[in-house]
Amino acid sequence: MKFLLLSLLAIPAFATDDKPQYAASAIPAALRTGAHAVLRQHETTFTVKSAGKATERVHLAITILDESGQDHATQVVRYDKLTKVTDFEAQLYDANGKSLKRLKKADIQDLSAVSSGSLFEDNRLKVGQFRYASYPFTVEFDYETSTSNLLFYPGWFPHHEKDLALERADFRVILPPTLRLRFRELNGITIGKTDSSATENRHHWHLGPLPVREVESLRPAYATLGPGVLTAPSSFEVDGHGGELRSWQELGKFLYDLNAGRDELPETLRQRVKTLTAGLTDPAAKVRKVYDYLQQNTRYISIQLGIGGWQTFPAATVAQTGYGDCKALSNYTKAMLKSIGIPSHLAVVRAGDDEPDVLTDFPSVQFNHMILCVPLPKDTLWLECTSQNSPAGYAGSFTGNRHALLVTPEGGKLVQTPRYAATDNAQHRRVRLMLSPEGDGSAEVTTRYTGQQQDTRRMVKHQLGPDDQRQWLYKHIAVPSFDLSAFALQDDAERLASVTETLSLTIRKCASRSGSRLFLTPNLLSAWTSIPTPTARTTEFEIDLAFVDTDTVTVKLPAGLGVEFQPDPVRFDSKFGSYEAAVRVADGTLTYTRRMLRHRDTYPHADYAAYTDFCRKIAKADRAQVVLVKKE
Amino acid sequence: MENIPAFREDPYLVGASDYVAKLRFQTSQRTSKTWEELDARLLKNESFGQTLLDTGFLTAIGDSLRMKYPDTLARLTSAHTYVKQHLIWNGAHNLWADNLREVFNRKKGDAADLNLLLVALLRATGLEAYPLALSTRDNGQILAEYPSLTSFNYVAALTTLGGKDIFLDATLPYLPPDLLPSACLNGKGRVVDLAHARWVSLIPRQRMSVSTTFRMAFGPDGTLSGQAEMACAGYAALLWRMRLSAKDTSSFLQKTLEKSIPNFTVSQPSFANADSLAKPLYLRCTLQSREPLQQAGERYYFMPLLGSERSENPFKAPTRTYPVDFGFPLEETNFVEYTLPPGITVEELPKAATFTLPDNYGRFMYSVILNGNKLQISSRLVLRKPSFTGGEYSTLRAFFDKIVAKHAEQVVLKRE
Repeated sequence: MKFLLLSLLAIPAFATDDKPQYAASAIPAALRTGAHAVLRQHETTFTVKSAGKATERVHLAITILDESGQDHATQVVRYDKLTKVTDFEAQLYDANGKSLKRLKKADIQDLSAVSSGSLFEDNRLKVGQFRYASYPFTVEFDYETSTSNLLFYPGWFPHHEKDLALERADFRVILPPTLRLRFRELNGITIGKTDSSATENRHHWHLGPLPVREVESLRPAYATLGPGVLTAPSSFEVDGHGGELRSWQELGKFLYDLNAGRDELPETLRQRVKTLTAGLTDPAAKVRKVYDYLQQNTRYISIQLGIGGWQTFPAATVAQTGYGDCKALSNYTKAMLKSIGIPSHLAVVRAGDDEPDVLTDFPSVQFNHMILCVPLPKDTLWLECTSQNSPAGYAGSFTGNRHALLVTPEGGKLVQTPRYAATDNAQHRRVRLMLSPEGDGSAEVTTRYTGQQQDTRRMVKHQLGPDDQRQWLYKHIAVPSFDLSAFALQDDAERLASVTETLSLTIRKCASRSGSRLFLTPNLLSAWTSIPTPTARTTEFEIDLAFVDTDTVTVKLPAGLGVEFQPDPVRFDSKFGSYEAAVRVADGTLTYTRRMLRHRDTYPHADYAAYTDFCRKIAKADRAQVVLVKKE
Repeated sequence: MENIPAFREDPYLVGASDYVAKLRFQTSQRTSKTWEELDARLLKNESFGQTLLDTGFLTAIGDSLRMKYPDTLARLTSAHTYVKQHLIWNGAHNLWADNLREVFNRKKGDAADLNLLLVALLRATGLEAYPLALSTRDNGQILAEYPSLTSFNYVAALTTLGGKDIFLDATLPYLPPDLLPSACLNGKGRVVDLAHARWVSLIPRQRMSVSTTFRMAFGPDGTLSGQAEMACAGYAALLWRMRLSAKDTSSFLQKTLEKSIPNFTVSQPSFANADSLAKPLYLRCTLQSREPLQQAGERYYFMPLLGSERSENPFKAPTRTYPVDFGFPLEETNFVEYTLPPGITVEELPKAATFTLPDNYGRFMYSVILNGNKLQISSRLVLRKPSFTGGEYSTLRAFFDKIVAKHAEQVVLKRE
């Protein structure tokens, strides 16, 4: 009874404070411009208690100005086996800052965050959400997490969301005097303050007031985050394992030790690998054979659990079950190669088409994937062990063009993965077109895609059935109205991956007719249509795919029609790439040739107008028409 | 069920769940044998019919609107506007309302709260008005042979004007009278009333209507400059009013127009009638071509609709099993007038044409008129019914093929 009484009397700290705060009228006008929500206050305090224990306390208040800002009324906190949510409170205020509602414990949703394609994860979410529609209103969240996974320290980018203005934000990191913080300030944040005393090391960064950020297109990935800080430990403990993290060498050493001794195979498999590669002398051929065996006999499944995020299953387990995650499959392949005397290294990488490269001058865990690197006398082969159809040595858009950290017995070494130049990422197309006097056409098209330009088509070939492939092609062939009478997609296992696509098309009104004339755009299938809007730009921009496209279109002209007009040859060069196109007519056959090359680079904002002009000139040349007219 | 291939979504497919074989269950106690029984149950329910009884708090407003607007149309419009302006929709669909006095006082609610309040207010102004229960597109079609409360998930309002039904919905501020939100356009709805219960068709009478007009002067160097205007009515007006309301309007308009007319620089974008729901919404701008038209010797060649043409057939797949559902009847009009300078003559023009769909469900008319130095191209596409069956697909696809081909035809001008 006494207990009950006490809990009734206990008034939450939140509710006692009924002095209105967060009145929407207090938001400076400059912060309202273009904003759908304003971050009034944002305080994050990361307190490291020891090398293996820390808490993070976050307090934030956001005023939502209109319906488009509604997403900010939801706060998601992730947790897992090593990170617990110890407190989560949420409160709603009206336009005048008067408290309306406070979420009860039962109102906070607790959800699983296991992604599809995952066999086992322990990721979960706590979600606090307000559904309210009388704008403006303010939501306030307060939460604390405690973690024993100190491989990671938080990144802090409070202004990264678009349409959000920021009144003030503070980030504090407090460490015991024995531990040193490593950090990297990004995107123009004011240098933080550091205070060291006998009892603790304190760091403090401050932002605000900041109006809504104009997010310009084609920005380098890190720049899209806005001003902020990345932090990392100098030494850490996680799940009973510890290490130093002051250099790539040390991070690699930790990962090596964590995974050492897990590459032993059962004897039967050792024999199997020996038999498979018997008779081969070229080590590269042996690697291909082993990789082929891997692709035929295992499949990828994601498994994320505590330290299992960084420590592989033993190779013997994969031998038995036939599945594994990226670490398990890479380690398994490493074990098979070791059994025939070929050394290789696990390598961690930040994989993904849109992921930025790691910041090479800030050693820290910036990775999300593991691959295998096989150094060979002549060259190095990189193996993507989670794919059942990628050729040995092909890294593509997923892991190519970036750095990876080799995990070697001597520690980590940061190296380059394969880089793909414009000529590697090619699209070579040949079209033979028969044209009727009415302008209807039938075309035989053969296109060979290589490197990064083949990635999508390889996926279409392997992941879609014939019906869905046909549907996909219907969607992606840029001709106004046509029927696809036959098609084929063929791939190969060359190190620079390629896919050859053949199409038979019937094209209605391939050339448009007006009276006695036919208008034909000889660039039937490869027209460049993406023209960025020319706007005054204030930030640098990044073109992240280099490629070359070539086209040869031959058109058998209908009898009785002659060429009234053909476009002049076009040729130009710029720092972004080059373009040339020409039409020739001989013996009743028209031949159109085109070559477009684009570089991969990052350019200063002042070059943006020139880049849009480059795109526009190409689009215009690609629209050029040939005019055919009835011969008198 | 065995060996069923995967269901694939096509463009303009609505209510996909209606096409997947399924069983539905219902407890026998809650089943009504007839729709009339179900009407009675709805009217007795305290979250539906009963909410309309205790509405004394609306009497004063109702009386004042009645005095101020003797004309029925003006009165129903004013009641509709009153609810839309004084209450905010929370984004949710619902069939069941809260106590209407509470809804009124807290000034917000879901679709049932707002629309039943509208029914009550219309009645307080002396008009006949009824709840219109329906099933939204996401919720699937109502099966006439199975009277069931779970068929419905939404309620709108219905009143009459000169013997004609008028649909009303107070959820979106830009809905004029007789326009239901597109989510509601699903087969039929039920007028819930003991004396006047009946089914009404929800096939929209209003169109998605867009009419573009360009008036361009042909410059001596082969460039074009002039004015463009887009007039939107019916569902097109609703769509554009919503787009314009959510954004930083002037830069949004500038960017949108630049994207849709890529070969021109856009200046002085403006719009009119954004809040006059009874009138078409106009978007206007001034255009200047970025580069001269394609020229060969003394001839100019160009597609005359200046980017407003249909350049692709939306129906690419050769066959289709499920219906094509546009949601509403469509109406697209393009008109371009060129003023030619002295010394430029017409050498070749596209020919006028008319294409129709069977039973006059669709019609396309294209005409070219040369009148002195004015060259006028007009194109008009009307689809009178909002959906077409899988069996009509190949005809519809061929119809669009012909439109795309017609729009691609070119004008040839010659410099003397």
